[in-house]
Amino acid sequence: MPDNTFDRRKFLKLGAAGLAAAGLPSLTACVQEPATLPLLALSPNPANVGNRVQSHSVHIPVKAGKAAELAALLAKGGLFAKRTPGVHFARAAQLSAAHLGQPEGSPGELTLGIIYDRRIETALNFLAQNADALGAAFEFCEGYDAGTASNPAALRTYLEPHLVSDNLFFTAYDKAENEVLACLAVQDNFLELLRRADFTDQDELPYLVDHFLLADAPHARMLDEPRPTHRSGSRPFSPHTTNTLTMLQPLMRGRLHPEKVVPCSASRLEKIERFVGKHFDYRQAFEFILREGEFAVKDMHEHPLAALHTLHFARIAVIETGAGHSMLFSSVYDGDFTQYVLDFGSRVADQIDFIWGLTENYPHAGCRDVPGFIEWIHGGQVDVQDFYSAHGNITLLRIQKASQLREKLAVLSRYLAVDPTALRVQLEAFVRENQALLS
Amino acid sequence: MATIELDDVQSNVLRGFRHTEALPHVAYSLLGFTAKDTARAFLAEAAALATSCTAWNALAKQAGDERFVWNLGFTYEGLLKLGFDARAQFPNGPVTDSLQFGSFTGYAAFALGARQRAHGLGDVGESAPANWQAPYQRLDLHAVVSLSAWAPDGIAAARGRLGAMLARHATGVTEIACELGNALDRGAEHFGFADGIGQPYVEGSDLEPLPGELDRGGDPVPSGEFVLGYPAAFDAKPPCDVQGENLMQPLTLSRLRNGSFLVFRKLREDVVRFRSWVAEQATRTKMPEELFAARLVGRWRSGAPLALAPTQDDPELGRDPLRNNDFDYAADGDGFKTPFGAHIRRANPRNDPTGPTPPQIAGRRVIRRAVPYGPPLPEGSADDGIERGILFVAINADIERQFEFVQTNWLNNTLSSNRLTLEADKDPLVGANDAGNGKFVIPGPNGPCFVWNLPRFVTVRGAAYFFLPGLHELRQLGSGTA
Repeated sequence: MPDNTFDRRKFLKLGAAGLAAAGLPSLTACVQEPATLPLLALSPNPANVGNRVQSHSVHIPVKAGKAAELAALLAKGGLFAKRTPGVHFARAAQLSAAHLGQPEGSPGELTLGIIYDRRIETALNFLAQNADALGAAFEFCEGYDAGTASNPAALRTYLEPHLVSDNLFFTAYDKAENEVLACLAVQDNFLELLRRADFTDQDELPYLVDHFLLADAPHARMLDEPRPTHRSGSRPFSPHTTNTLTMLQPLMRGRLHPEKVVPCSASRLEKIERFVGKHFDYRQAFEFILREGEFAVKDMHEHPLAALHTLHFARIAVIETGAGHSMLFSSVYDGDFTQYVLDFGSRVADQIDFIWGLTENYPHAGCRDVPGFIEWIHGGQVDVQDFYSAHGNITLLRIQKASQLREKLAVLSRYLAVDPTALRVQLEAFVRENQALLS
Repeated sequence: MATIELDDVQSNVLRGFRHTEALPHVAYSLLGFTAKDTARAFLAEAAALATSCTAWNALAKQAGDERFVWNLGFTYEGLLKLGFDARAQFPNGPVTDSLQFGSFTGYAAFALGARQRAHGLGDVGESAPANWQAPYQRLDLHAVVSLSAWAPDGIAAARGRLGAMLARHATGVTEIACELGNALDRGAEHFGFADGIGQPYVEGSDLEPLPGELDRGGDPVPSGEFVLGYPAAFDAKPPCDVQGENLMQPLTLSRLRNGSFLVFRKLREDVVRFRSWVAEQATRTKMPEELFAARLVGRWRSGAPLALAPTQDDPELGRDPLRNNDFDYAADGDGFKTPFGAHIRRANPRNDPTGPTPPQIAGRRVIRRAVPYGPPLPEGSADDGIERGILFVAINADIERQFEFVQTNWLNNTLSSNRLTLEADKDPLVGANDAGNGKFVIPGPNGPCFVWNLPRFVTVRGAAYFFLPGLHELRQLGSGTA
C-alpha cells in the first residue's frame, strides 16, 4: 500500500536522496503497484478516503459468444429504472474486444460504474433494486448464477473479484445525494418566497418566511419523481441533461521517453524521471503522477479539475488490456459535449496534457489542439448504454450555488426580524449580497 | 490571409447583412420539384440570374428601383430530387440514430432538416413543427429562391421573372409559398429594436471591419465558418502546427466549395403581449419602460448597447456603426450594465469573464439577416389580429456547430455564463419560455430585480435548412451534370 500521507511537495523539494534523510517513505513505496483491495469500507482510491461520495466500478467478463446478445439487451436501455436514495449516478457500458485489445471475436466486458454515498451497501442495494434488468444482463456474463442480482450479499460476492481500483476520483461536491436535494429544495423555496413576496402585501411577508424559509422544505422536491435515464452518445441535443463520457485510451508502452510526449510535459516528465530512475515505463509514470502530482490534491477547491464548471465527477483507472494497459476515464458533466471538452484545453491544459500525454495517439500539441483532442477522445470513446442521474437536469453550478445559499440562509434564519418592515429590509439586504446565487 | 472566391459565392452569404447594408425588401419563394428533368431545366434558367458577392457589389453601386438580388438554396431532399449525390457529398448525412454530438464535420443537421431538429432547439409547444404553417410541414419543400431588393419594384420585377420561369416549367416545379418581408423604420423589428447590428467580420470577405466585429484577439472570423472549403475556426491558428491541414472541414470537395448553409425561420412576434408585459413589469419593478426593455435585450431600441449606455438611451450611438458594436463585457463581471441573461449577452458572449473561453466561442458565430413581415402595429394599438414577425436567416458553414449550438446552449440553456444556473432563466426575448414560467434576473448594485412568469414572445411558424451552392455548382446542377 502506498502511504497516503506521502507529501508531494517535500518529495519534489528534497528529491530521492533527501527523502530517506527526512524519514519519508521510500521511492519504491510510492511507485509500487497498488495492491488489489477488498471491496470493503475503504475505497480503492486513496484520494477518496474520507469522502462522503464514493465511486466504484466493476468490469465483468462476458461469456464467449454472448457479446451480441448482451449488446442487444443493453440497447433496450432501462437498466437503472428504479431509484435508490444515496446513489448519484450510475452508468453501464459494454467494452468490446477492440476496446480491450483482445483478439477479434473475444466477448469483451460489461462495466458498471456507480457514484454513491459512503457505504458500498448503498450501491449494492441500488443494483439489487434493479435486479430484473441487471440480472438479465449478468446472465450473459461469466460466473453468474441466476437470482444473485436481487440479493445484495450474494451480489457483493459476485462482483468483488471484478472490482477495478480507481487511480483518481474527483468529486466537485462532497455532498450526500439527499443533501443535494435538500439544497435544491431550499433554493426552490427561497425563490418561491421571493416571487410571492413580489406579489403580496408586506404584511404577508412573515407568513411567507415562516412557510418557505423556516418550515421543512414544503416543496420537498423530486424525491418521488421518476429519474431520467438515458443513453449518451445518441442524443445530438442533450444540453439540459447531465451527461457522461467514458473513454478507454491505451497508455504508451515501453520505457519512458520524455521527448515522445506532449512538449509542455516533457520537462516535467524529465523531473519525474530524475527522481524515479530510468526504468520507468509510461504506466508507472501515469500512476505516479495521479498519486503524487497535482491531481492528488485532496482539497477539492484546489484540484485542477475544479476549474471545470460543468464537471461533477471524474474517475480514472488503469486497466490491463491485451495490448498492455489502458486508461479508463469516466466523467459526469453538464450540457454540451464540445463546450465541456474545450474546458480542458482552455482551463487546465497543462495539467491534463501531463497525464493524458502518456496515452497513445494523444495530439502532439496537447488538448489545445481542438480537432486533434476531440479526435483522440472519439477514438477511445465507449458508448455508454445506460446512464442514471439522480439529479436529472441539475447543473453542477446550480448544486454549488444552492449549497452556498443553504448555508447562508441557515445563518439568516437564526436572526430573522419579527416586524414586517424590518424583515423586508433584512431580506432585501440578503438578496443584494447573494444575488449571484439566485440566477 | 485567405481570399474567398467572391465571384462564386452567392451574395446572401457575405453581402448585405450588416445593419446599414441590409436590403429593405425580401421575398422567399419556396419551391417543390415534381419532375427531375423539368426542375433542372428550371434551374438552368434560375441559376443564370443568381447573384454573386462580386455582382452584388456592382449592383449596390447602380441606381434604379428594379434592381434585385437573386439567390438559390436547396433542402437535402431537394438535392436528392435533383440527382445531386448528396449522400456521397455529405458523408455524415442522416444516420438518424447514431448522431455523434460534438462531431465537427456534421452536415447531419442539414440532412435531417429543420423539422427533425426542432425539438432539440426548444421549438416545442406552440412552436412545435406540428403547429407550423402548412408549407413548412411539407416533405416536398425542395428549394428557396431568395430575392431581395432596394425598392418594392425590384421585388416585383424579380417575382415577375420567377413567375414566368415557373410557368414555363410548371410540370416540374411548383411554388409552395412565398414569404414577403419589408424593413420597418430604423431597421427595427416589430418589438422596436434596431436589428442585425452585431455581426462577425469574415476573413477574406473584402469588406472593411467595423469596430467590434473582430473577435477578442482582434482577428477576423475565419472564412471557413461561413463558406465551405476554407479554413475554419478551430484550425485557423493551431497552437502548434498540425501540418496546416484543415481538420475542421475535410470536405473541400469541389461540389461544396464556395457553398454555405442557410437556416430559415419564420418567427412570429407577439407584439401586444410583449408591449403590455413590458409595461406591466416596468411598473412593478419601478423602472422606466424603455430601460426595462433594454435590459431584456442588452441594447436600447435605438441599438445603443447597455454596455456603453447603461442608464440612458443614446440614439446617436445606436445609429453609429463605428461605435454601436464596439464593446465587450470584460468590465461587467457583475452584470450590472448588461444582465447575464440579456439576449445579446447570451447570443454572443464576447469577452465575458463569466462566459465561455475563447476556444469555446470560436466556431459559434453566425451571420444573421432578419427582415420583418407583416405591418407594424402602431404604438398603443390594440391587437389587430394580424400576424407579424421576422423572416430570420442565419448563415453558417455547419448548422449544428454554429446556429443550433447557440440556440440550444446559450439561448435556451445556461452555458453562456457561469452566473446562470437555473433552468427557468432562458433567453427573455427568444427563449422557449413555454409554460409562461420563465424567469429573468437584472443584477444591480442595490440588489437584483427579479422578473417572474416570463411568457414566450417569439413563436416559430416554420423553418427549413438550405444549402447555398457556389455559382459554378449551381450551374452544374442546372445543366444536369450532377
